[in-house]
Amino acid sequence: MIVLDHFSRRFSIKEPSKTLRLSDHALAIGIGIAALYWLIETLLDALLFHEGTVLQRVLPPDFNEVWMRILIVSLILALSGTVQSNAKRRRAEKKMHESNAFFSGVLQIANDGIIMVGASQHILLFNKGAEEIFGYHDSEVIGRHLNLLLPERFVDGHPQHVSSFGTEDESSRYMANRRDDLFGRRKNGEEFPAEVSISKLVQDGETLFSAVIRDVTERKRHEDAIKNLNQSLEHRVKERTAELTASNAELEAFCYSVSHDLRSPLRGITGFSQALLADSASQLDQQGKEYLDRISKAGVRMGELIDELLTLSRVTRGEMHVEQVDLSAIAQSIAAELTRGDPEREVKWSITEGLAARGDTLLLQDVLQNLLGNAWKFTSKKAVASIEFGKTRHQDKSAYFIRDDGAGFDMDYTDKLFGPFQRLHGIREFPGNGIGLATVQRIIHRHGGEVWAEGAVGKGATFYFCI
Amino acid sequence: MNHKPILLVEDNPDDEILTIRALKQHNIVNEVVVARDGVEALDYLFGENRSESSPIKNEPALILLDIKLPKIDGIEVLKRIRAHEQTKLLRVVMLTSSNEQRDLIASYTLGVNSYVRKPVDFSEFVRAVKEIGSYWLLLNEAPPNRNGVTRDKTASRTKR
Repeated sequence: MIVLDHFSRRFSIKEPSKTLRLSDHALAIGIGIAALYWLIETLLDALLFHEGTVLQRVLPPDFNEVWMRILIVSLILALSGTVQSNAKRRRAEKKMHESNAFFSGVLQIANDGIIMVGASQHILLFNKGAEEIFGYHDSEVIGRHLNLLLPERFVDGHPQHVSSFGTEDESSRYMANRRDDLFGRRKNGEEFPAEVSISKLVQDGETLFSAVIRDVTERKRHEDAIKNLNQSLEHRVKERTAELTASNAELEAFCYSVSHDLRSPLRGITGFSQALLADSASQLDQQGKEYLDRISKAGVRMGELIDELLTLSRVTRGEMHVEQVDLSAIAQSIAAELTRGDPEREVKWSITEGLAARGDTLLLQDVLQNLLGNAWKFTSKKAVASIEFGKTRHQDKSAYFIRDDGAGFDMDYTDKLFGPFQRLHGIREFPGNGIGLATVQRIIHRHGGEVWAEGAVGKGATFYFCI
Repeated sequence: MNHKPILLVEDNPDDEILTIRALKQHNIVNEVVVARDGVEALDYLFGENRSESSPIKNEPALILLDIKLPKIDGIEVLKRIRAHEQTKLLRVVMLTSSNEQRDLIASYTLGVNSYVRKPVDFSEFVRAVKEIGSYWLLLNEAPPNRNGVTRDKTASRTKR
């Protein structure tokens, strides 16, 4: 594979190992042999031929003996040198081959695109990963300028970037931190967002750049989807908040107006009927006086209803201060207060100790006041009554409950229980204005909880709530 | 008994009649001057020149101040009364329909002497007015008199 040849050639091969080998010392052996030859020849000359030398006898007389010796020694040395360099070369080649195979394997299995360019930014290496990302075969890009792989708009800027990097001391650079402005160009002209890290290598005085390229199209798509989703969520939250703020402001303005303006005409109605009764009583017969009295009372009643509506709306208008609330203690003090109000009554209170919840103290106080007050009211016709406050599991929920054995209610009308001004008993039977349970429900809902009830006519009622 | 007039700031004619009737029923003989909006009330107290250093025009014994009023509301009137050196000690009672938190907080923050919500029931209303009158005009010791107050009763717009 051409690319790999190109590539691996650029990688220096490790120093040969220090293990002793014959070939490593061929030259030394050669020198040894030459010296030995010299010694043996000198010995032979001395022992065998007291006059003259071996060479003189072997060689023709006109041959220069000294040159012959130098020639023989040189031949020995040259031979050993060749042996050594051949061995070195073979080992280097083997090493190179192994190295090629290694890098080739790494490159082939890399999912990322790997590209190498020279200082002139011509492509020297283009791996399989790069082929897949860019859609080019390596034979189409090797030797071509890097600009081939860049979108037009980057063509001017990029070479500068590369060459500036070339002059810096950095040896590698991760370019993904500028993720938003890095793009590659495929063979079909399509652009794609890329994450790139480049590294520099100086080999034999030549600067080479290798780049690892990752196509992040898919990831970007996911990121964009998440970003869009977040943005649209934020937008929706803003919208809803604005709507809520607007409707709260409207409610606030409405209640303010009701509080100020709706009661004034009623005061006129009751005031002037009573003034008429006081000033012109002599001119009215008994029925006329009674009618005026009814007008006045109706006005007063309407005033009360307006006040109750305002009270109910305050439950949702005010700010909540969430803290740990001792429900048992509150229940105890309400029970004591109710008992003080009518000490003649015989009521068995059973309040579980240590029940606590997180919520707004004043609002939860309202809840218990209403529920215990109702229990007290609807047991008023019993000689001996019992009222219980505790915690239990009901309908798969952990819930607080208030149970009485009073008048109870018909389960058919359960859905009416919590509606404002809804009453299941006549005003003469049990006094009330039908705002208490509506208040309870609003407060419990504001705490993110639920309230429900169970009962039967004449058999008492149980109110459950969880917050 | 303080014989200076009572300034009633009230835009609802029914309430105006009923309040005056209630005051009379309890033998409160002070003249009642009625201002029908905040501007009239300030005109009565300060005249044309509303600067804090100029002398005031009228000094009522008691001001009964409604909150929801045309032009300038009761809270603002109270604020200006408390801001002026010569009126800051005047006895001001909010007499209004609302018992909204923000009205109560604003009134007491600005140093109102009392805040009374007009009851719908007339007999209760009469009782409330009687109590205001007897407390602020009879029982309660008035703040010390200031010097240099002009008592120009002819300037009052409405007299009853």
